[in-house]
Formats: sequence, structure tokens, C-alpha cells
Amino acid sequence: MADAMIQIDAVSHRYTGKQGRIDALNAVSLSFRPGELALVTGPSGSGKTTLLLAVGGMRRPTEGTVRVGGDDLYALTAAERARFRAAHIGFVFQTLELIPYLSAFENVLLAATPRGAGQTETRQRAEQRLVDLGLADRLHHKPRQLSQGERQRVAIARAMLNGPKVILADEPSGNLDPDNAHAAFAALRAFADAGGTVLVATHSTLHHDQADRVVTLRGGVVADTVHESIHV
Amino acid sequence: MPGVCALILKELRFRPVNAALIVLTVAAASGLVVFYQSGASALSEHAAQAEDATRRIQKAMGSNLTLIPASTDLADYYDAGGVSPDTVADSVIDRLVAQDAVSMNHLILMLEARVELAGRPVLFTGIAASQHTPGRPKKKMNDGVEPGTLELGSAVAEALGVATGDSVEVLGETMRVALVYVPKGTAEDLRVYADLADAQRLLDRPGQINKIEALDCVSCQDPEQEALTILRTELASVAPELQVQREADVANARVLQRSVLAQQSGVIERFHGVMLPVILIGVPIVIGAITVLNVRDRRGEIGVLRALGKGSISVGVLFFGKALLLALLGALLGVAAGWMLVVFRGPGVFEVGTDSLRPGAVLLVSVVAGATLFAALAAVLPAVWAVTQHPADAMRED
Repeated sequence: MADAMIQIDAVSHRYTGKQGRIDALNAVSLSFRPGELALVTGPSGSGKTTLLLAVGGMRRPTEGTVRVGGDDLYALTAAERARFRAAHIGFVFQTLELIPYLSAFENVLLAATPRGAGQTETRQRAEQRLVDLGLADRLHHKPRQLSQGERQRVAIARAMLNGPKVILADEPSGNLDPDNAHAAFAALRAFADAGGTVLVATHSTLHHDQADRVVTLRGGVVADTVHESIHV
Repeated sequence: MPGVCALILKELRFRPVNAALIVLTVAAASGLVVFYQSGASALSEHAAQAEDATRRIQKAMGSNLTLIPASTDLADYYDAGGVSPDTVADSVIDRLVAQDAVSMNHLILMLEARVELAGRPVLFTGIAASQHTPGRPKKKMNDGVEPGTLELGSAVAEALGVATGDSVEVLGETMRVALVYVPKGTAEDLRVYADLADAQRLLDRPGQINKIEALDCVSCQDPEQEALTILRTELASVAPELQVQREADVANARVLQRSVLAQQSGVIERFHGVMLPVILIGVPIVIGAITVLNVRDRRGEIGVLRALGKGSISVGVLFFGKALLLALLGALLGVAAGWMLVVFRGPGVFEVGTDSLRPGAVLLVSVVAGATLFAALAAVLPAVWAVTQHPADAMRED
């Protein structure tokens, strides 16, 4: 696909665990275009997170290539890949992973480059991301002072700070009540509508209406791909 | 991203117990090193001063052995106030210093006689510079007296009406007064020292001596009688024309002095033998373990930082920098605490004066620098572990 933001070609990932060799991904080929929000679903152990890690430049596949914005991620050096990740890929982690001793604002600013963090424009952007996600009165609260939903939104704001091309989210609604889960997906949907690409790994089928496509993995292979025609 | 220093300081506030453990560990170690090292320095200086003082109160006063002619009757000798009427050839010294079988050192040749000066009886002493035996310390106990000069006890100088630099006629020759000793309130105040060769000429005893004072090297370890037996046996084979007497007060004082110093040194030896190794091994283990626990607690944070594109240096500095900062703080507190211990507890523990116990600047700076470096090195491996954490650890594996 010529205009693909994410191009995954014949990616396999194998590792040896206590139960012997495990094929986490087996010759998976997928592509995702700008403006697309795709759900990657499947049972536990199907390879969802491994796929996200491979796309995020954090898990080198055993075979195959991963391109983001045309760049072959694993042809880059580790340092180049780290810089690429900082500039072009945002992560929303399942376990939220906000730094407990930093405020919401500082957690978002954590994603900025060392040079950018001190700039007024970056700080304004960090604040604006939080305001956009309904956290105007929570800027200087520590994670323990925030609700689960608020922490999730801080994590989304952090993922969006640098205006990435891609956001990778691992179970972003896993610990959230329906309202907060809806708000989180709405934020990701808005990012996609603005031209970004979003990959969401999830067990849930509740948010298929927000997605452009649902990719189902089973045993490390693509079992099914459904293009959703409607999202709100 | 907030600066590394800001992250370190915020994390310190977030996990104060972790930080406090490192600071207290380094502070305790630094304080003990300052305390005991100050004590060791003071005791070493004290021991040297005590030895020196014993030796140098006045000419040959530090000696604890007296060799006199074997022909001298001891009753006559002590009746005459420690002056032998007999003499031997001064060449005996050549035999004594030519071999190492004799357990004595710092041999001082003397020729003594009671004479009358200005109507007063004085002890006239010709004295040579001390000589050492082979393999023994070469530091001179006394340098003798310059030929043509005299060193006078205070009462003699007063009777003669002379001061340092004056000339005075003694036994038919005019000599210059090189030194007048301060009053001591002892028989030393009635003593005159001259160069041995001058004394032999003035007393008309050329090439003769009647006393050799020396320092025995046996009594430091053995009971007095055994030491005397050893010395007599050795002397009989080397210089049978001499007999040995001990200056009991000086000898006992030296034994007592060494016993006290040995007791004091025991405190330092226990520190160097037991506590210092415990500090050198235990402190890095404690700091390393605390840092490892800190890295383990923060694996998620490390994963997030790596996922956000932060490099190894940024992550490593968070842990290494933290250890460095806390170690510096601990070392400074430890040095201050050690100083206080030295001032308030040192005199009691080391039995030396407060003035001797002042920790030197070199020690304080060395302890701060050493403790900081040492503690920081202990954090290197945990910091490397933090740096090598895989960013994927922050995300769940399905």
C-alpha cells in the first residue's frame, strides 16, 4: 500500500519460553493508513501486544520488516530508533505507568525532548493537551490524586504531546468504567480524524463502532479483518 | 522532560526512606572513619612525642642502661653517686657497635668526675655523640657537646655567674658556654657537660671512659630480670671489662609508657582489623542492595522513559546521580558527626588531649571524596541494570 503509515511485512516473532518455542507472531502482514483507528483483538497469547511492541520499535521481529512513515524501524540503530520513537510514536500503556512523583503536567512533559521541555511552546502544548482532555483543574495533581479515568487521559495526553504520526495503545480502556472508556476512545478517535494512525490492542468488543478496522489475531496469525463502515 | 536533577530530587522526596538509608549508611561509615583515623593519628603522634621526650629531657636521660667498668665495686659506685672511680679504654665502643649480638642501642660514651667549680661540687661529664649498633635505629639520642664548649646546669651557671655565650675558665682552660639548661630541681642542675675528648684532657684521663649509657632493646618485650640476664650474657662475650646496671626508674617508665600506648593502639587495631573491613565490604553491599531495590521498584518508570525515547545516559544518570548525591550528603553529615565524636568522645576513648585529636583537613576532604566515590561505585552495577532494562517491560506481554 503506497500511502500506508504503518507497513508490516511478513513479521514473525519467536521466543523460547518455559513451554518451549512460542510463535508469538507468524508471518503477519498488515498495513494501516493515516487517519485510521484499528483495533487489534484476540484472546490472551494471540500476539496483540507483541505486534504493538514490534510496531513501536521495542521488540525486534525474528523475521520481516516494520515500516512507519516509510522508515524501516529495525534498519535504524537503537539510538536512532529511540529518537524516532520519541518524535513519531506515542504510547498509551495498559498499566498507565505515570511517574508517581510527577504531576499530571510533568508526566505529559516527560515525553518532550530535553530541548523542547524548557520551551514555552512545548509547555503550552502540554497544558493544552490536558485541557482538551478535560483535565484543566488537574494539571498539578499527582497520579495518586487522580481517578483511574483521569490517569488514563493523562497518559493519552502524554502520547499526543509531540504530535506523533502513530499512537499505540494497549488495553486503554481495560480498567475504566464505561464513561471513561468512551472518553478515552473518543480522544483516540479525534487523533485519528486529525490524520494520525491509531492501533489499539484490546480484548473488548465494546468500541468496534469507534474503529475503522478490527484485526483479529489467533495464535500469532491474522484470523480475520473486518472493516467497520461507521464510526461516531 | 523535567531535568534529571529535578527528577532525582522529586524521587528523593517520594521515597524518603530509601534515600535516608543510603545517607545514614554513608554517614555512619564516614563518621567512624573520621573518628578512628583522627584517633590513630593522634596516638601515633603522641607515641612519637612520648618516646622523644623520654630520650631528650637532658643529655642521656632517656637511657635505661649503664655500663661501667667490671672492676668497679657497686657499693663504691652508688656511694659516689653513680660515678665509677675505675676507667676502661674508650675503644670498647668499637667492639660494641661492630656486631649485632648485643641487645642495646644508642651507646653514649662518658667520662665523669666530681670536681669543684666556684666553690661548689659539680658532676663534670665528658660526653660523646650516641652511636648505634648495626640494624638498629640510626636516629641520634644526643649529638654530644661541641669541642671547646660547655653545657651547664642552671645552678652551676648561677654559681659561676655566666650565661650562654660567655667564656669561663674550667680546670685551667677557658671555654665558651654553649648552653645553660633551665632549672630542673634535680641533680642535673649541678652538672657540667663537655666534649668527651675535652673532658679526657681536662681530667687527665686520655682515651679513658668510666660509663656508657645505652638504651636496651629487650625490655620492650620481656620481663626485666630476663632482659638483664640476656644483656649480661651478651656483654660477657663482647666486652667482659664492662658490667651492666639498669636505671630502674627510666626503664619502668618506658615499660609503663609502652603498655599504655599498646592499650591505646589496641583500639585502633580493632578498628583497622575489624570495623574498617566491615565498612569497606558492608557499605557497598548495603548501598548496592538499596539501589537494586530502587531499580526494581522503578522498572515501570524505566520502561516508560525508554519507550519515550530517553537514552541510556538519561536513565543511568537517574540512578547513578541519585547515589552520588546521597553519598555526598551522607559523607558531609558523617564528617560533621565524626568531628563531633572526636571532640566529645575522643579524649575518653583514646586517652589523649583534645588538641591532639583535631581531624586534619586532608582527612576530612579524603573521607568526603572517598566515601562519595566509593558509594557511587557501589551504584554502578544497579545503574547499568537499570539502563539495560528492556522498554517492553513497561508493557504487558499477552
